[in-house]
Amino acid sequence: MRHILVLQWQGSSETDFEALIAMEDALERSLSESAIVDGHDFGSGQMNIFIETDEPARTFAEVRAVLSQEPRWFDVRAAHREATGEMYTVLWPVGQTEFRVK
Amino acid sequence: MHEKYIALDIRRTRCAQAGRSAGYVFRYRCIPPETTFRPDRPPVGGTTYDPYGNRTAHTGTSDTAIGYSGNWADASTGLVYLRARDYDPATGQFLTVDPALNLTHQPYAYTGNNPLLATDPLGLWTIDNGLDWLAGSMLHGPGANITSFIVGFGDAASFGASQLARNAWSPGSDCTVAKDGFYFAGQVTGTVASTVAYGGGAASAAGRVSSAGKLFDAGEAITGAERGVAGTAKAAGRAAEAGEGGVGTFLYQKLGSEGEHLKYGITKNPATRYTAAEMNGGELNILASGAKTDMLALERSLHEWLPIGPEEGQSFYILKQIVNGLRPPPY
Repeated sequence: MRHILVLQWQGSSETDFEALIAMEDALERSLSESAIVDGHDFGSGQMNIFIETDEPARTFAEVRAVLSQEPRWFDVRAAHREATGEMYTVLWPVGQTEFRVK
Repeated sequence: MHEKYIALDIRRTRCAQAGRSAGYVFRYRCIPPETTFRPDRPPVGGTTYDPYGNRTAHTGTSDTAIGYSGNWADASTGLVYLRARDYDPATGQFLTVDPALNLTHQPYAYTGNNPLLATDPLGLWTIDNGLDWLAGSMLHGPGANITSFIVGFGDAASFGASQLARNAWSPGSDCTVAKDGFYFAGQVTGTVASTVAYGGGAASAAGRVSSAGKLFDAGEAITGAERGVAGTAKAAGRAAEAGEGGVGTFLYQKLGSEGEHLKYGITKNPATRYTAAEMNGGELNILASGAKTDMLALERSLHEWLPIGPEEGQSFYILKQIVNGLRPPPY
């Protein structure tokens, strides 16, 4: 897999953490074989799900189909970078350019 | 099973096999099997130390890499790995400045130069052997609360600490076996051994080891391991055993540039988890691998028993730690 797709939310509570795990599990069950749910981290007021994929835009579309009914979907941020790269390309929200994993 | 003890360690640099990805280095560390604990074997020896940790006597025909205060010791240098820092018994000083200096105001001194009454199993704060802190002489302000916190998790939360000790130690390792890079059940069992020497009998054990210098107290090891995080570690070990040879999920600890704990996370591929900029000079320290559900359980347990890192900020774990009988410091 050549890209890392990162789904990011604000979060610091136990409820947030449980929601993160639930979404991660849902993605693991539902994403196609073109993507691998790599895992998560949680801290500094943000939480992230990391997905390995060769086609980040297509994978993000799949993610949206899986999570769009989740209560936390409304404030998701998504960006991808090359697996060994440094620069993120923001996929969502459209028009944003800043993305940082703390 | 006990022949494979393999650790991935990105923190230390002594192991030869290394990789580079995403701009930062990660390293494989191998744990020699003879250093692991075998609950089916009785104690074969013991070592006695003076109060500062200088070896004074040894019984039995075999030796161990577990040294003073139940921590990994480097036979070639005499240094003792106390997790946050290396300690030199010959001088009674740590080699590096205390990461908790702003609380302890003791940059290098071990136990405030009072090892008869105290110990410092984490290389951070002094723990009094009688379970009272040397707060008056060692600490100022909120530091007293922090020392109490460490006393509290000395028993059940030893998994993380002893695991870190294991990960950071590699004398005589054979790095050629590290390519599959997985922890196996025996490795986690080995952690139980550290539980004995470090905190098998609650915080008092730390004092006992410090003053008496006795090792291999297997009975307490098992008792301690069945509780709290260490018990969870055993579960993870079983999962890893069941999945030997399969794809693992790694539980990692993100360390800052000074080796300080920042946060935990779970990944299938540590090499691509963060960019070099996100690592900011720090490293990833692989704590365990196995089934994802078990790594998640371990992650929760570590949060509930160990100090909360600056990149975590999950205040809800403070309440859980209090429920667990700990007295966490103010964050």
